[in-house]
Amino acid sequence: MREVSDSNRLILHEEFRKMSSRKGFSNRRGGFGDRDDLDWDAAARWGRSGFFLLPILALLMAGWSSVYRIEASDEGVVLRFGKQVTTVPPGLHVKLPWPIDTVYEVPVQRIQTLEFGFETQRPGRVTQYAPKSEGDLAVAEMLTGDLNLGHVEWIVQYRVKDPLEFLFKVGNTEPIIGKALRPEGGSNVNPAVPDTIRDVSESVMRKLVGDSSIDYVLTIGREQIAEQAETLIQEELDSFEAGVDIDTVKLQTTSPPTEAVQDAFQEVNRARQKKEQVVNEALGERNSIIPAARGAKDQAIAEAEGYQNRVVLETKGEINAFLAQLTEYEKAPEVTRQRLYLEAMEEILSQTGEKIIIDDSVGGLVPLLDLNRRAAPSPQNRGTTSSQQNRGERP
Amino acid sequence: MMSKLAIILIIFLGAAALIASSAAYTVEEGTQVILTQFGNPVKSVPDAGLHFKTPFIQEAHHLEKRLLPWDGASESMQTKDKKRINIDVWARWRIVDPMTFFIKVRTEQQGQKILDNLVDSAIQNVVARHNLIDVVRKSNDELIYETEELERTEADRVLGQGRDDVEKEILAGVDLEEYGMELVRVRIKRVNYVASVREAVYKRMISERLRIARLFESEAQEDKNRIVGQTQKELDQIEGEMEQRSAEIRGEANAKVIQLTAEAYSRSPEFFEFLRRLEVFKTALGTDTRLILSTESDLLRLLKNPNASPLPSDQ
Repeated sequence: MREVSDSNRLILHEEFRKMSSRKGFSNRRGGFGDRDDLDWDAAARWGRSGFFLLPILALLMAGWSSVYRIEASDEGVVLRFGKQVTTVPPGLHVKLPWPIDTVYEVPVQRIQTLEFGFETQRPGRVTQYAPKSEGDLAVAEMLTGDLNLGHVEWIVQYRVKDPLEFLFKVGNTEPIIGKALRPEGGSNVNPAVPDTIRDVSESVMRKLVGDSSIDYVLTIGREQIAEQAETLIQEELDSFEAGVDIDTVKLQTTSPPTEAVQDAFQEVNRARQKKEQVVNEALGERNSIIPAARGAKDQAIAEAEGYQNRVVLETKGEINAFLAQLTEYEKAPEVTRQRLYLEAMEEILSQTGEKIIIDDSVGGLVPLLDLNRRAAPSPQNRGTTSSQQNRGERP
Repeated sequence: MMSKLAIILIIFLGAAALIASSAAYTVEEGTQVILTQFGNPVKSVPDAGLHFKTPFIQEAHHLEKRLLPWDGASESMQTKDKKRINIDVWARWRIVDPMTFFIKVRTEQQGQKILDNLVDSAIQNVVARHNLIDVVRKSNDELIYETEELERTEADRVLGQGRDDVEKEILAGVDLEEYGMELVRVRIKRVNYVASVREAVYKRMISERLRIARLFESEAQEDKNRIVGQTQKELDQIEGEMEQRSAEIRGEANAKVIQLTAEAYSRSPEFFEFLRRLEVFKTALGTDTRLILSTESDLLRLLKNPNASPLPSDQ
């Protein structure tokens, strides 16, 4: 709105100037041409027809061009005959009419964004991006410190911090002489500044990426690079007195340069995860085996200890029994011995299955007595040999 | 008569305005003016504001006082180590001596043209003196990688400050004093391989990554085998300890038994042996035993001869 009214005003001024000069000229010519006739009536007629309205119109215009409005987020810089005299806050103001005073409206509070390597077509709930152009790719593709290539997209946001520096310190060679400074208003007040920020940002970003590995750029280093970029861009712009404050530098997409390279990077991730998985599985296996084995070990040891307790106790019991018997035995050795022997024999003979008693006088192998049943003939010396074996076992 | 007077007045005013507009001129902030007299520069006016000159004779020429951009085209050139790269440089300059500038260069566009020639050749000269790595890096700081497998220190070393030095050398290689201009800054905007090399770089990056992927795969097997081996080792250790410990305990138990019994039975070995033999008979002879006894034996002697001695003859 404001820009429109500004330019309207300019056009009207132009019209006015053209009009007045044309009328003046034709008037003069009329004057020379009418020297003989002195047609004063015609002049009067012509004057009545509107000539006297012109100064009034000029006054109106001057008045109208003296009132101006500065938008809420802007600041006005007032120049008198081209020299800066004051800056004014937002609101309605009065100035001397054109061409004495001119006012630049600088958006001092508005945060402006520059995009590198991509282009937002239409911001919204689902922001639309323009298809990547050759230019975008040229901006985004950069060499890393290991002489690989990376694709880095980023944004830079800035604000005007000093309207005077912003307007009068950094220029542009395109519109020179008279046209260089035009009170256009809006974000396009001094296009040289965003151009400078672009140049500085590109060289700074490349410098940082150029001193990093591709891995660092893609993953762990993103924030650090953005942080350092902000500082370096600000320093460079301050040295140019560009009058802007870098608000944020943010890395957007950082990726390997092409689809195929990206796949290879993914392959590494996949392999790394696979490795972790395999190792975890092996560790899991191990974790399920080792504690079980440890348990088995403790069990076996406990069993051995149990055995130890048991046999020692048993032995002690046997010993006590033996000692008790011995005490009694020592009192009457012969009788006790005989008794024990017979008791044992009783037990033995009563529990053995088959008994054959032979008598020498009978001779041969004829059994004298078969206590249980008829037995098959067996060698006589068997009993004695087994008895000898038994004796041999015990020392 | 009134109208005639008015016309005369208007003519007079017009003439006055014409003279005034030729005598007065404004210098805007950020610009400066050179006054020429019949084409010869006579005065430089650096300050903004309303100024006056001799009408019709002197002429005001406006020049920029602000920092001005220069952006070179992307140039293909060769580095010292014979790598072909595209390099894109920007610069910032300003008019420091407007008089000289006006005489020798006259307009800002002409100034750009001078920069085109001088800076481009300076870039060529400097780049040809440096290896690619000097143009790309600015230090010899260790590069940080995600995985240490990628860390290879065989990379070329940077000479001095690398890119910063290259930029400074280009800046130093351009002398603009005679033109009344000053080159404030030169920065490398873009460096990239030429298109034909880029393809090869992509391929190299792919093969490098695939090498790492394969490495991870074999490392996975390696780690797995190591863990399995370690597990087996620990398992053997545990089982060995188990065998050892339980054998020791059982041995101790048996030793204790031997010690205890030896102590006790040595009080009467003869009686012990006797009892043991009886025990042996009891356990050894069972229902499946066939016993052949002679009537001559001690036990059965009484069977044949009631007067026989009841005591065993071998005692």
